[in-house]
Amino acid sequence: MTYGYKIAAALAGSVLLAAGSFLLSYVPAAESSDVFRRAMLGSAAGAAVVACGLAIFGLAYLGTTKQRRAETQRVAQGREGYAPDRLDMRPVKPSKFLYNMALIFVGVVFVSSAAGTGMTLSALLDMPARIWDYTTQMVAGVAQIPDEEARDAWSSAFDAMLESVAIAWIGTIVGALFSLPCGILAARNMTPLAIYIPMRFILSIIRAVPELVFAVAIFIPLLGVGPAHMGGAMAGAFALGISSIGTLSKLISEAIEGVDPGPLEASRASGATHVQMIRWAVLPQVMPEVIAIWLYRFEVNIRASAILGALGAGGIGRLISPPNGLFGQRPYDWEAIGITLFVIIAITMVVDQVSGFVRHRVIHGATVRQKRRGFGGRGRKDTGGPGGHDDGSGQGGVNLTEARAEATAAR
Amino acid sequence: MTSMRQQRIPPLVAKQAGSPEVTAVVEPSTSAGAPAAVQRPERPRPPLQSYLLLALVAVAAFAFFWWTREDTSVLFIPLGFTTLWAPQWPLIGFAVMLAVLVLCWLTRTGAMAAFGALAVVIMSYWAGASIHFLDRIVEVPQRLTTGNTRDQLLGYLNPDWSYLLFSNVAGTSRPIWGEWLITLCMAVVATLIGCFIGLLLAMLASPVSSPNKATSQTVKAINSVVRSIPDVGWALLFAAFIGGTAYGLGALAAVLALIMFNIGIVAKLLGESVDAVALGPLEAADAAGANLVQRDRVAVLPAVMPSFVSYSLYVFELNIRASAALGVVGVAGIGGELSRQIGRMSQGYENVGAILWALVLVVLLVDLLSMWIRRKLL
Repeated sequence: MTYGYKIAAALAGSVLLAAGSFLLSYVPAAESSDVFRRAMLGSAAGAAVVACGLAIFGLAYLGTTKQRRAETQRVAQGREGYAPDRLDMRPVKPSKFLYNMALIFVGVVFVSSAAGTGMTLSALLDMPARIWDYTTQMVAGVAQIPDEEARDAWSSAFDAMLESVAIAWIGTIVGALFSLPCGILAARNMTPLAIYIPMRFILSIIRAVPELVFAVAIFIPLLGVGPAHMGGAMAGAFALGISSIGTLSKLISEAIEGVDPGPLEASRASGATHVQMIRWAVLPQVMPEVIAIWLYRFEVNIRASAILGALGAGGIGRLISPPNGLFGQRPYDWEAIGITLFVIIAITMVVDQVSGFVRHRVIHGATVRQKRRGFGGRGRKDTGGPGGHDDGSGQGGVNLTEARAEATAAR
Repeated sequence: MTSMRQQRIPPLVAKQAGSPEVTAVVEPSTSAGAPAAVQRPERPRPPLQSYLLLALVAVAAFAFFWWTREDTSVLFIPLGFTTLWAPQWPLIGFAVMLAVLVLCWLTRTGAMAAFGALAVVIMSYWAGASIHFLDRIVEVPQRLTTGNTRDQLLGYLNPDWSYLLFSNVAGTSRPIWGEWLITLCMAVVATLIGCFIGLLLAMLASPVSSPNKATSQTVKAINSVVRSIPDVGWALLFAAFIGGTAYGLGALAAVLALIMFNIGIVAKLLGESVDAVALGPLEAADAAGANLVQRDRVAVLPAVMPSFVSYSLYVFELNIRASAALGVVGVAGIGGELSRQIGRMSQGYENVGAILWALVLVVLLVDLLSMWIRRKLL
């Protein structure tokens, strides 16, 4: 397929898209749903712009037809044509036509979605003044010498945040208890196929269900809703725990699949049973990584518990979200909100630091310290490889585990 | 202590030195009869002082739990001549802590690991006590068998699909499926903007690609603050900043909140990818005389592009879930409808059931889609 045909096809596609979405914005469905009509009009507009651009580009391309034909003939006759790349012997860049078209299509989707949400961007104009106003009030609330009211705000924020930490901890414990056996059962080198496949299937279903669904559908009716003594906190903890099982087991099974097979063979050769093999050959290898994964999930759970709290499942979310929280009262009490946000940020960061330190300690042990052997002003290490980078925080390997954890959580 | 150690070491060394010939002689005879007891070197005992310190920690935790307990159940310990009493749950917790310590001592675990185990027990006790773990657990069987809860759980199993497909949001002429569409739209917009800003911040935050140390540290600090505030918090904050009320607000607050949420995730994860980028291309770019922007464009960006695409797809999936949840605090999308239906749950659970099942379905589809794109691209 030559370049001209590609352009023609893309042009036809974008014209079709524009016309199709324009027509779709007049079907009966669009009459009832404003969102759909706006999205379709947006997509029509975006596709029309793309079509115009492609048409101009195509015309320009058509204009060069004669020159290109002459060029082809000259090369066919064996004479050297003008080719700047021959001069410095660099390979010609491959055409990225499909890639570019895909990017443009993403742009059209973006325009269409932005139109569909119906955002009124004029609201953004007033925002800086308000942000400044409210932020000064919040800072004043945090910085003042606490009077009676502010002391109430501090203590209730601390209580709610500690409740969030407790929810996240219980959730992590529940997830950890179930995830180690599930992870072993979902590791290909530990388990026969007949168990491995159903286990993987169950785990991927658990991963597909949002925590919100577990909380609303199962645990709030089962355990109660509202503040901790009404059972809301327990509902949040169990929702987090059950949904942690999916991710944790997946990560643990991947860690187990990556173990060094030497000890496995040695234990098998010396007559170990399956359980003994797991106990003496697998667990010693993976345990540091497993503990790091658990701790990482604890940090994730603290953040996730806030949104469950907005549904009535305990923790800091209950304190801030309407109708009963700080943002539900009509003139906002910005000083209390500032204090609460400060407590959230402070405790989250402290927990992150502690957990990061423990993870580092568990993975690298007490004696190993990464020394900076950088040269020049940049201060980076001259040895590459994973964990070879160091930004002074000294947590290279741990951060890689974390990035992998997040990346595989998606799969 | 030291004298004991010195006594113990010589026989061990002698046995290890002599072991090859011993085993060579002994082996044929043992294969027939009972295996000979081979003396292996034992693990050294951990220092007693640190274990005493740990026991002290356990006692302190016990005192704290006694001090802060809320229920008043008391355990009596008859001792013949007198009867001691102690609060029930703190005492049980203390027993568990001591059992963990004894177990660690018997297995000769190092002091740090024993401290870790003790800390886990203490944290679990504290967390369980502050969310009333046992009180709620014992109620579960009763709730399962009687009344409302059972109806509710059964209601989820026959969802009302016609509600989801054909009916309108209460009080308006907007159909329910339009709310799904707006959720998707919000997720797309927020993902594209948020990931782009996150990419820029990640480049600035990593010492590999940022102009100087001060910039990278500042951006890192800002990023960790952005990450600390949960997405619900961002949604409520932006709702106030825009000047509307939290209810009936439209999509702008949700999109801005999701953008902040995405910036946090992408800047953190991608910052680590940038940190770990191969140093060869960087040096080549430096040697060819590239300035900072050219260097980042040529040596860093192509290296982190695959992980950027991967994280963006992941973030898109997260956005679908989060925007469904954010509706709970009053912004547009399916979450708003979900929270309205939860509010009127006394009239029946079929509507909530339909929304939840559809949510699972949509997340599953998005998951499959992103898996397909990832396989195509990477």
